Amino acid sequence: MTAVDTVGQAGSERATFLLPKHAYLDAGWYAREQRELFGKVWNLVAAEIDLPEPGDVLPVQVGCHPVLLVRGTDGVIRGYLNMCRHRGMALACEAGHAGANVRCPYHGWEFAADDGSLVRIPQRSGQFADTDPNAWALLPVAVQSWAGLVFCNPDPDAAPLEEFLGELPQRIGPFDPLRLTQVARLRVPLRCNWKLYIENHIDVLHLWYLHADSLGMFDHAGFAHDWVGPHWVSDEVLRPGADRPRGAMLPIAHIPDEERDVLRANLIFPNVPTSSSETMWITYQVVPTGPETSELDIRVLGEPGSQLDAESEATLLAVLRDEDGFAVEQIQRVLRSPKFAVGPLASAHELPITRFHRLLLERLA
Amino acid sequence: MDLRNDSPTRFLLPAEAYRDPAWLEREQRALFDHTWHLVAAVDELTEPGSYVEAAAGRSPLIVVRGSDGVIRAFHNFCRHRGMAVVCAAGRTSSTLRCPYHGWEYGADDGALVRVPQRAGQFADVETERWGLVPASVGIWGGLVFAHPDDDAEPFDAFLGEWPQHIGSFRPERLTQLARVRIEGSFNWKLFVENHIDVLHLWYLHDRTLADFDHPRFQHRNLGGHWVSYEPLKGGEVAEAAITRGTTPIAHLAERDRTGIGAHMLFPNVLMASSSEFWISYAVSPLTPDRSVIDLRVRAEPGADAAELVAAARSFIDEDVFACEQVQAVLAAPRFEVGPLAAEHERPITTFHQHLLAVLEAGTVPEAGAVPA
Ligand code: FES
Ligand code: FES
Ligand SMILES: [Fe+2]
Ligand SMILES: [Fe+2]
Repeated sequence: MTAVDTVGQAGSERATFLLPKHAYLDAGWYAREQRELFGKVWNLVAAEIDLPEPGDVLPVQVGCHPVLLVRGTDGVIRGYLNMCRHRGMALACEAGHAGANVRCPYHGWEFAADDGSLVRIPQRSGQFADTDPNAWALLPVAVQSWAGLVFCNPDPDAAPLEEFLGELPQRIGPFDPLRLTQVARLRVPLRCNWKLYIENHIDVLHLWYLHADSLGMFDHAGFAHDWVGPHWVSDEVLRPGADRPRGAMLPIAHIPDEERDVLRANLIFPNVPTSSSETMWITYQVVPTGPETSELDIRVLGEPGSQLDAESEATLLAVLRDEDGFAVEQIQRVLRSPKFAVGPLASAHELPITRFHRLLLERLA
Repeated sequence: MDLRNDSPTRFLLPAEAYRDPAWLEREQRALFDHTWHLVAAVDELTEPGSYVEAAAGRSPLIVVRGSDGVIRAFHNFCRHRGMAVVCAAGRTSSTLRCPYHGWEYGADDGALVRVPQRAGQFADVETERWGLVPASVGIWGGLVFAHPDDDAEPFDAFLGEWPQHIGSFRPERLTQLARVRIEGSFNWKLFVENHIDVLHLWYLHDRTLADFDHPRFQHRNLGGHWVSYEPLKGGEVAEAAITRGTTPIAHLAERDRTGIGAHMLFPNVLMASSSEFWISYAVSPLTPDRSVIDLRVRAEPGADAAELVAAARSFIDEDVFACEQVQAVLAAPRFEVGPLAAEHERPITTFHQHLLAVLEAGTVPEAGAVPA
């Protein structure tokens, strides 16, 4: 990924906060991100289990594009713009089962689930005699899966998902998410711009302070992190002799013993933090819902048969919502203060924020 | 005693002023970013080191009593990445510590006194440059006011001669017994206009304020500020409807034991008084059509707080109801304000004149300067 290789290397670059304040407040900036960033990148849009059966459909929003995910009769999940080619009605407004054909509720046009072709126009001979159905198939968008997660890129020139992910799948530790099951999905509304949450996720410095109690048992001095193309990976281990709340979830069977004391945090660019421990592998996408709001969409994966017990859930939400979420909501509030400006950044521990900003600015230029 | 002004009373603001985000943005920039706000009471900051969080318009503030007993205000954002340094009321023995990355600031002067991992991560940072940003503080009547600018217009100049027109009340001699937050769906200006509208006393408050002699209501503007007084009907010392507590304020003169007052400090600090309480209720915008009222009740220490809150709310809730109804109608395309009462709604015209002068000039006028 040549675009990314131009980004400065850690150690040589100065940690600076590059984005202006209005990047976190302004509707115009938000619209530009929706168009230029989310409209041209691989977006996490679903998990494969959200469409369990052939013929299942799920409407999702990808940047400015309404997309309908459809699991074909062949079991493959595909994406089409969720607009009927007749007058533009949304083909589905909620998750459901369509079968072999997706039928528009407005005037009954039907499209094949497997290739989007227009297979039925009611009253065709009387009303649409000249219409060539071959010209009016659903418009496809690129959809691909990795690790049970479904991604969509609305850009017609999108490179394949494998190219976008690059080395990332080999850098997330010895986990195979396909051998795990989703044990919970939690949604947390946030009163902040999505970027604040991501910046917090790749900020190494706050581990010592904001999470002094919740993550104090880990050896932050040995925190290792790296960029993998536009993505970010990190790990740290438990301090010798320390322990952590382990909850009642089953340990993940397929990881080696030395992984059991490791805490990993990664970022699938631009807005999907993931992390893993001995008992869970989680994604927590920060879905932008407006310039000053977003939603954390948390999926917890665990060993088959495991359940998210109350203690594990509380430990998880304490960090992701009550500490991280709380901090970034406070910053969002402060951003409106006419007197506020960001100060100096930590030379190494906040450098990932600078790189994240460069990656965004490249795409918004 | 009424404001002498022969020009007709008029409603000068357009409907947009009550519903348009751009209009609120202008108000924030030109008015609230540069005026005095009621932010606390001295009773909330009793001990050295005690602090509260507050807001002055869009500026979140920390109000803190220093080890020297002086109350100061700082902008409540960490100079590092902007986390709120304090998120609730509390007390510190020395410094205020940001929970995000641990920067610490002196509670007396806001100076940045500690940057964890400084040598390794912040080697070039000159700590003298990154103290908390100071705001200005003024105290009157046991109430703490703050101005976002540290070179603000002096607080005494802002008050002007207003403190000399509130009769025998000395609210600093009273104790804060209650504080209540009331949110409502109305533009903040509707609530101010309602407060200075004399006409509605007869009607909206026909039961709650029935014991008072509205024809003898006296009021005047002092620049943008406003004071008023009305006596009990017949002037007898009787138990009035809104003084349901049991502990009259000891220091009042006869006039104030037998009447009530309603006052305002421009633009949004409303106050009211009776023989038993002094209440302040600043109204601040949340959005163009949502506001929050921060009600504080001061009274003699032994008074019945619940009764006094109920007494204040008996008329405030009626006012909130009226403002919410008007706000709802403001969205209607064919709505327009009709004729105003020749005298009983004059303070609304004056309020609008002051507000428009600020928005046009981008600054707050001297107290007493009514635009032509
Ligand atoms: S819009 Fe779909 S059939 Fe008419
Ligand atoms: S934001 Fe306060 S220490 Fe970092
Ligand atoms: Fe965190
Ligand atoms: Fe009223």
